[in-house]
Amino acid sequence: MIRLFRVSKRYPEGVTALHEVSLHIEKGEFAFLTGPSGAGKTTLLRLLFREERPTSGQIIIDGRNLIKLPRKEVPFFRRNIGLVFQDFKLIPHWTVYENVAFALEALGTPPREIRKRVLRVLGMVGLHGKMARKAAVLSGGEQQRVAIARALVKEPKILLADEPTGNLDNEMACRIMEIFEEINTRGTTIVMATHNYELVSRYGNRVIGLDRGRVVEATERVAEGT
Amino acid sequence: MRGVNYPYYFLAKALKGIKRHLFLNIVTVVIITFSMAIFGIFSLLFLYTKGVVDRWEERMGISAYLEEGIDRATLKALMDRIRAIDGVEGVRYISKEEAYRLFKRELSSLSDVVEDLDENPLPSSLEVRVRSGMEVEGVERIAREIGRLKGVEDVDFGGQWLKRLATILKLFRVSLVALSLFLFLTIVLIVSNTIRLTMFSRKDEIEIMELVGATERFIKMPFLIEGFLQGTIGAFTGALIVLGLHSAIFPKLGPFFMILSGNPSPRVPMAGLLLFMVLLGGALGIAGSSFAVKRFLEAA
Ligand SMILES: Nc1ncnc2c1ncn2[C@@H]1O[C@H](COP(=O)(O)OP(=O)(O)O)[C@@H](O)[C@H]1O
Ligand SMILES: [Mg+2]
Repeated sequence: MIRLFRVSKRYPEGVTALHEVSLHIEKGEFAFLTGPSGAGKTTLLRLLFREERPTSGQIIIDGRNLIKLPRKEVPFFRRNIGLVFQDFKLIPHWTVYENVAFALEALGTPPREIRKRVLRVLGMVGLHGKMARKAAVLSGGEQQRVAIARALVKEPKILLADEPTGNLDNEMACRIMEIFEEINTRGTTIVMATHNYELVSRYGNRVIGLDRGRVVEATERVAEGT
Repeated sequence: MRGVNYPYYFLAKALKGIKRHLFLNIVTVVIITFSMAIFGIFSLLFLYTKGVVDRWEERMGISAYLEEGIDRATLKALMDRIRAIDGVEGVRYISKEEAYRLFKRELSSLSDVVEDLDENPLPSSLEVRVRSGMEVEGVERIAREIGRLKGVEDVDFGGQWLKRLATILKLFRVSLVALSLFLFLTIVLIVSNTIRLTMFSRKDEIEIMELVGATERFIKMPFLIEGFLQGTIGAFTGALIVLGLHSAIFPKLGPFFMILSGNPSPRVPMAGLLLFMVLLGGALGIAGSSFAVKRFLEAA
């Protein structure tokens, strides 16, 4: 599903954020991407949905070579990918509902279908009651859940989530993980960046450890707890 | 999946955009209104002038004034030679007496002074009809040819001044085209600028749209509609101004046109002009916004 071959990313300012990373994530996997802050997790995810291009190496996702993907095809490629950004990227003066519905409007989903799916997903993340609020007035945790809802509402083949539980209390983090596990069992491939090692050990999924741009640890399943 | 359309959705977004920058949009629309009104007014002026000149050209004939005491044989030969000239449709002889009668009839409505003349000062003449629709230059050539013939004292073809007028009309046309291009360019630029500002204020929104997989078309559409609305509304009010001015002023111009062309209300394609203005306004609005959108998305 996701294949990286010796992928390096060097930012124009000279920082090498990723160094010859090779990876293979199968369809239906739920992988954690871990590592300290600055390890390159966000950079790796940004390469996966073609916000950035690698300096060198190859990235193949769902049979598409991202290096060769023409600009015009990028939106169609992104349709199958749900994204949860570390900084949420909500539109502050839009309501919660509008922010979530928007991801479907952009795809040309019929309006009735949009309403149904947005309400369902807002219920899943516990924001039913706040759907008429402007995104700007929500707490960090609530904004994060809106960002998650916007990614889930597309029912994507691949979910890329960048520290999606970073602003959530434990209970809400567990709730989100439950949702992720559920859509994962229904077939969505998930890559989730986190530096919450407790969470990682609790769930025991495959772990891809990054440190200063290199893969330092790649396990199928983490057996030991901490 | 690619084809689902949201006309209402895009329109709502465009209206939202206009509402958010209401003042800027009003300024834009007002500028378009005035540009279009100026265009419309000058087009009307041109059309009326052209109508008058065309009528003159239609009725253009040549008068060849004959030498005093010309004899019948010379007259007959002269008429035959003129008839043989290419472009001449007919020749009619007007004697001194007839000329005087016509002159009196034409002027009687305006003055009675002619009654006082005790001697007929008018020369006899030949009225030469030329093929209708002939250009001023062609008529002038024929007139010059007739002027060289024996027995002809003087020719007059309804106007050196008509020729000058035709030149002025040509100049008018060129200026109108230049003025229009300038006005249209102004409209495109002002719309493009307004749309660019709107897009800048929604930069984050556009970026997020791109990240969640919105196509370029989806991102563009509300802005194109916004430009289209600005252009159409501006042109529409501009057209109303032209129509208003026209119905206020035109009826009073009847006598003026009567004198100029013998027709108190020359017909101009008014409805066509107004429709053209509105459609053109919309097109220019789309052109301006496309330009802005293209530049914005390419820079991103
Ligand atoms: N847009 C950027 N321009 C320049 N350097 C960047 C940019 N984004 C990230 N970096 C750098 O790349 C490295 C990896 O960052 P990032 O991928 O955000 O790590 P993580 O998400 O694991 O904290 C860091 O050194 C960071 O400073
Ligand atoms: Mg990060």
